[in-house]
Amino acid sequence: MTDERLPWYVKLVVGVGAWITAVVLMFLGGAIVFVALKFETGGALAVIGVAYLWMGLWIIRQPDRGLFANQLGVATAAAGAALVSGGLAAEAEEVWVGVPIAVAIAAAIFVVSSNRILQFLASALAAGFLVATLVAERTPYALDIVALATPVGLYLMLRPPERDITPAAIVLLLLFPLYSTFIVPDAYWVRDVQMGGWIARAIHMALFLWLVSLYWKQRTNQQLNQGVIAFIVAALIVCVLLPPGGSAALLIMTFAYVTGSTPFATLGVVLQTHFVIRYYYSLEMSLLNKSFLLMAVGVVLLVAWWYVERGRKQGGIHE
Amino acid sequence: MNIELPQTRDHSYWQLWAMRALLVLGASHLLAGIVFFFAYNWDDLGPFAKFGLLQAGLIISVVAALRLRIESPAGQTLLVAASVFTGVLFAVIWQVYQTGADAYELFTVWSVLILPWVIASRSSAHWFLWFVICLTAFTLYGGQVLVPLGVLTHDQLGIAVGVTAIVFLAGYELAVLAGCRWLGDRWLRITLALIGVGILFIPAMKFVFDWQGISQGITAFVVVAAGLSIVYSRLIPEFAIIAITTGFAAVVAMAIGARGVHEIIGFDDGTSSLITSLIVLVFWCAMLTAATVRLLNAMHAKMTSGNGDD
Repeated sequence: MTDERLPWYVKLVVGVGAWITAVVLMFLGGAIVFVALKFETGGALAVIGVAYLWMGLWIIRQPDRGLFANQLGVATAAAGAALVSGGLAAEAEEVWVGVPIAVAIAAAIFVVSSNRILQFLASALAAGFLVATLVAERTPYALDIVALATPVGLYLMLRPPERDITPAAIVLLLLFPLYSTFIVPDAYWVRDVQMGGWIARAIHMALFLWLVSLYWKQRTNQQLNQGVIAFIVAALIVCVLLPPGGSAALLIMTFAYVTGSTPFATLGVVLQTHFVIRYYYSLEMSLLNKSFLLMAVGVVLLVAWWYVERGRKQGGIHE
Repeated sequence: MNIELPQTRDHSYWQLWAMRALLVLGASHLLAGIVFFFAYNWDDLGPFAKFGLLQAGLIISVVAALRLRIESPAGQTLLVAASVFTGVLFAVIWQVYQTGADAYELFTVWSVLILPWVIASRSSAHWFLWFVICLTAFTLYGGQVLVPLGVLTHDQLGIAVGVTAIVFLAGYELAVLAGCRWLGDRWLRITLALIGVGILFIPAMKFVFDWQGISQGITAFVVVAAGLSIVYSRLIPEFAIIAITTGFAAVVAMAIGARGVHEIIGFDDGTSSLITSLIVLVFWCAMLTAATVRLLNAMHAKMTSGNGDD
């Protein structure tokens, strides 16, 4: 029961607390199934998960629950969702089985509960199973597949449906930047599989254009001016030059600018910084070629800045 | 497709943010590219050409900063570039002459030489870069000198590095109080606190789980977390730092609970003790999370008096 007016970092702290509690609960579920009852099957884990899920949702739906009961309920339901999805995936011996189950559970949680921490944890679980499947199956064009989540997340953030599903939209929006900068660079097998990336780049280009046009239509009454054109050209060149992980973080920053979101601006800066540091160790090309690419991106962005700044000083470009 | 953008956005703030972000992103990518380029140690480029390029970059940055006014965003960025060029120049001298100097010496000299530019630029980003270089120099000095000489253990070095970050934060606050308003960017304060508490969190957790580690780890964490909480709730209200310290403290308290349960009931003394331990731990973690929510709710209400925060 966090106050909706609380800053985002407090919700992050509460989410981490709920996640740690959920992990301990999963261990408890595992201990009951494997050690106490001695059922060595994933199906038994899923049964315990269903009980957890039911109990957790029941607790958080009680109108007179206290803060402690609420936290316990969120953690229990989240652990239940993970145990059901993981248990059935283990039973089937296929990671992908966890994806539709986790998605279905997340959808059910959105229907029966308005708790945003639980909704976020359930959505993140479904995203986690998707990523685990792509990694386990060494899926070709995984970058392009994951990039499809970005436009959906962006659309849901900008045009929320009647039922508030913002936590799921945030997960969808952050899935590609997190996947491309945290998972892909660490996977040794990516050298043997075609990871794709050009469709992801094309998606980012289209989204940059969409965000800028949306912004321009609603925030100003002016004709498309030279400053905006300079930004669009710079964004498109950067999308072509940088690996899609880099342009994804810039897209997050553009979204933050358009909507005036400090959390997304902070996230974008952190992701871009992380991207540049990780890019140093990336094996996709030599350090020399990476240096030329980064310098080119830097020059393009600086030229765009200089052009807009000059226009502002001359009074031709207002925003 | 009828999409309405939020109307509560502060247009002038975000316009300034966008221009700064474009400048910083451009400069940081260009400088990262230059660092990558010299890190590659390209054989086709002789030492003379390398030194020439870097020195030319350094001189051009400083002259351009002076021409554009060093207190302007472009001037500040160019002085940051000059500081980066200085560091890369040292690295290339190291590559070419194989001086045998320890890495901490490079970072120490680098931090000393760029200090005048850092002071002149009046830029919080430049101060942050300087802080990172100083902290790296100290960490390397500890690892390459103090630990081999037996002055400090690795754990004690970790604590010293975390405390050093907090000392920088104290210096920052004193400078702001002394009238350096240009240094008063909120992000710098929060980042310094996050780095300091984050570094101290590691030896604290190590102590809790190892029991073999040094008790200074947990002591330093508790003292720093309590000190930051008092300072940033009463003297300089900053709710983000309260949230950071409370969050880290809650995780340490969860770990202490796990350790206590392990010592009292035990996770490996049979099925019933395992299940009992996990149940107790679940309640402990849920209680701590609830207490954290309650505390942060109360602190937020008190500190913002209903004005809201970001």
